Amino acid sequence: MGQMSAVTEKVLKEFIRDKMVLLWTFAVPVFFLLIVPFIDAGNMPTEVMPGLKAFATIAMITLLIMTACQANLAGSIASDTQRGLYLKMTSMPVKAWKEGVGRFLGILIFSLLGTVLLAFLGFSYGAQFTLNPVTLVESSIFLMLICFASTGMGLTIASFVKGESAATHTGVALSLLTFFCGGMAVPYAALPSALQVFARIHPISSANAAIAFLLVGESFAGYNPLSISQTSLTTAISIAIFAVGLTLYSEYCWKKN
Amino acid sequence: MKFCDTELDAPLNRADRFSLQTREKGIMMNAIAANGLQKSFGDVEALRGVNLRVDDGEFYALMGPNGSGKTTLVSILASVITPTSGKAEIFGRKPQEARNMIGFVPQGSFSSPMLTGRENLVYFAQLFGYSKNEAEKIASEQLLKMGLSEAADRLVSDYSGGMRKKLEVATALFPEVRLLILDEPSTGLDPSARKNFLGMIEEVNSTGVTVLCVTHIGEDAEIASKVGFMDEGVIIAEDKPEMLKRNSGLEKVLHAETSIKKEAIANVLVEYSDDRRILETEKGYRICCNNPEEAIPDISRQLDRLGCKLLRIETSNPSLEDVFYKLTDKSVRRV
Repeated sequence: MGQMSAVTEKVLKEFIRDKMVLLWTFAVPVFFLLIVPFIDAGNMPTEVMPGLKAFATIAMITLLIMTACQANLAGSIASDTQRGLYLKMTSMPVKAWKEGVGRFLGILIFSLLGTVLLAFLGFSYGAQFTLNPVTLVESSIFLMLICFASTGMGLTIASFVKGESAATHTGVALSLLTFFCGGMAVPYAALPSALQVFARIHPISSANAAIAFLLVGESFAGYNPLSISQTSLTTAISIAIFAVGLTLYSEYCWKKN
Repeated sequence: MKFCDTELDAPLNRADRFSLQTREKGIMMNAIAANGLQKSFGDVEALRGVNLRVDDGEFYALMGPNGSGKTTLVSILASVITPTSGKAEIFGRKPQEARNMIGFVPQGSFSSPMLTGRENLVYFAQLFGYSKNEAEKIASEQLLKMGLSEAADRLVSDYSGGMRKKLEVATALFPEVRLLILDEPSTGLDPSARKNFLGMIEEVNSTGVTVLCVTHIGEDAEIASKVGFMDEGVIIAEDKPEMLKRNSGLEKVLHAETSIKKEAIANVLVEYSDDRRILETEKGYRICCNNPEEAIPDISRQLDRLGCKLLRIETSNPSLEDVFYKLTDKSVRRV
């Protein structure tokens, strides 16, 4: 536990002290959150706005988690690789998986801090959620799945892309691609049919839809992401991506650094 | 420095007890014992059967040019990579089983610039297996020993190169560590910081910690109790620094700094080289010359005829770099 908590603490401190990480992880979702509901707002009935703002808040929380886990985590690992940290750690009595889990916990706490901030901002901004203990617990589980899948992606990127800048940019590109093609920037119903398939298969977009379904309403999700088959698919792919990422990370960042 | 006092006052740790037991039993323990180490990366044979013995408490410097296999060798000993064949032991154990006795400082700068010196030390101590409380206590002790107490709570990004290097050595010197492996530790340090840093390593060694230091700088190797020369994946010679120089047959080395550098100039100088060899340096040439007093006026005249000015010429005792060059015809430094 000591090793894991040491890594968690290091990751958290590094992220919180890095002004650029804070700017890009928090500022971009906050900016979009404030802007998105007003795009084409002239045609929207007023009563839809609280729901639209809630949907935008959830989408921005997902974007924040993706940015943190896919871009910042990958960039941080690449930076540590370039500095020779993995050479040093390999010579120490440390297990690769423990270090990897420590990183995951660090990025998870960082993401949760961002989630609380954006949720608070959404509330103050007029977003209206359907909140009850059941939907809260269920939404938290889907939020965890988003973290698992995003971290898996981040670890995978870090395993193959060695430069800090390249790893960060790859993570940002992947996050934006998922955001715009996965039914978060535009409603699921407005997506072309090929992208609708993508949105259902991609665990991050389907988990995002599940949270929207639970906290805002069925119409904002566009389909039923809580069906047994869809939930099983989302859970299985999220955990599989995390497991693959952790395995690749142990293999390529530790053994073949 | 407070190394000795602190060590004497401290209760015996596990490694000390292990060392004491072996000494009581009359067992002469090798800190490092490597036999026939080979390592290949695809078609490239980095190590070609390295044999190495380093005694407990010794300061061993490993010199060699880039690509000679030094880093590969220390990476095997530090358990970072495994050899293709051959056997390595650290205090009688496989390197992977002796990780809690090895402190490795690889090339580069691995400490986190976004953490303070103290936070870095606590982080590495926890990775090493200490609890948070123990790690904090050890970090404070290490910072004091390294003279970094005042800078302890500053971000490492604000540290100088020398301070950062000291901090990184501290991350490799936890109480159980008996073998410190340094891979080109003084690279990038200015002469003053390098001298200060090497003094600190000598202090560490004086507390009984075995030191294996890879370097391509002759002056760094001079402070070692034994020096090994490595070339093309094997150790070609090893001895005390003075013995290596004495047995080389070199008496004097002549350094000539010339206004121009070209083949004709080198051809003149090589005529005065005892072994008919010449080493091109950053500013001129270096030759082995046992009668420099006679040679210098002649050299000056001949270079003058070629339109080349002799900016500076001086003689010195041979360095370890000169000995290495005599043995291999290669410079340990890239020119």
